[in-house]
Amino acid sequence: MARLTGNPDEDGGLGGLEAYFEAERADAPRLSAGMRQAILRDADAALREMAPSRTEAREPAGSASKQRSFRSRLRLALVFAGSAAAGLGTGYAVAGSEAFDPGTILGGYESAADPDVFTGVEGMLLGDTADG
Amino acid sequence: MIGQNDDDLLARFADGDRQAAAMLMERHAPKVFRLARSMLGNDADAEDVAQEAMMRLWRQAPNWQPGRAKASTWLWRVTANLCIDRNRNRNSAPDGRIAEAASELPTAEERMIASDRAAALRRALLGIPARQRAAVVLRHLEGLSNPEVASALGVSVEAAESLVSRGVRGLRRQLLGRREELRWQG
Repeated sequence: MARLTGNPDEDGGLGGLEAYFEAERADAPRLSAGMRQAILRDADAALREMAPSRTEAREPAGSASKQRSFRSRLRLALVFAGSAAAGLGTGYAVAGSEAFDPGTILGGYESAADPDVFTGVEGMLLGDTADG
Repeated sequence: MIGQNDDDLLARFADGDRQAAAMLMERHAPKVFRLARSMLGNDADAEDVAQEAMMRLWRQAPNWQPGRAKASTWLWRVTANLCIDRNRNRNSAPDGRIAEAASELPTAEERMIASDRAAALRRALLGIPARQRAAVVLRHLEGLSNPEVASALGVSVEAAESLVSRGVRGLRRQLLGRREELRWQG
């Protein structure tokens, strides 16, 4: 290897700067073990964050958990719809004093034994009643 | 598995493979750390930036589009931008925490000279504008080509060449004033 003078004003290419770059490269810092662990912990956290979407993407349409997810969304939509209907139809929104039970509007309620089994209107819409 | 490309590893990671993360980290985190250290001048800040850059890669993995960008280029750009932001926030003042060099050259005198030169370079790097600094580090310490530097910094090749050239001139100007201290032999 050619001897590097370290004179940054030398002619040619980088001049003497190459001596400095070489010294810095030789001093290449290494990632500490703690740092590596921290980066992998972040990776684990990211994997956990991604887990639900990954599960959903893998499941075929119509799988049990996808149906449950759909049912949850539909249940929420029905409750909101029921709330709106109650507010408009009974003056609930104005009075606001009585507890509102969407089950009374929808005629449906969750089975106490299995919260994923519905009866009534919601259950019929879902094709998933307590009767099977 | 050794020859597996970054696109494959990112897809495996997005699919839940932790081993892929370990491989990506071994491949990229040391380079990211070196760039950050050269740009920021100290190990602590460089570690923060390296961790943040890798975290962004993990989060990007599910949306990664194979063949669109190289993971290394993407990481260079993220790291350079994180460093530039950090420099902006602290007004780019060297904070005296310049990492000490620990060279492995054979003799004590050469070790000392190399150590002084490495420290002088790191100090001088902090004295040039951040984008020039990133360009010089990528070109001359990491060995990227000018087109690769351009891609990493999101500028044209001509602009990258200009950044490198101006950066080198800036370094030279600073180092010229330290002839005795740095023991030039010419």
